[in-house]
Amino acid sequence: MWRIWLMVDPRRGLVAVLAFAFFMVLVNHFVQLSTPRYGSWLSEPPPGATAAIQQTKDEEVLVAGTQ
Amino acid sequence: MSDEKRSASGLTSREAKEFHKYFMQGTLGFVALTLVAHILIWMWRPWF
Repeated sequence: MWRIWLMVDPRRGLVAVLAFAFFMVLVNHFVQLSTPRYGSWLSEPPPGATAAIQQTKDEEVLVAGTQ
Repeated sequence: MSDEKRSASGLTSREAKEFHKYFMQGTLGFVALTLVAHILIWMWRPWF
């Protein structure tokens, strides 16, 4: 594996890997935000708020997921 | 010129191995962090 650095300059390789990883992480977060199950982490109270709200919220999400 | 063969990237084998060691450390750190995040998310809302 280390022989890759005999072919690829570490500075360019590192920049390429970090740019690719950043792109993938960005896309994945927005994809998750667009789903009913995970798309609410910005707009709802945190999990530890109150169990009752969390319970109804989970049911809502499950229902939303099935529609 | 050093007697070692010149590589395309200009690194010697010793330098490539050294860089790779740190590169893998960083990668494993990233994987560990991601694993923790996914465990927390699973505890919040499992996806299966």
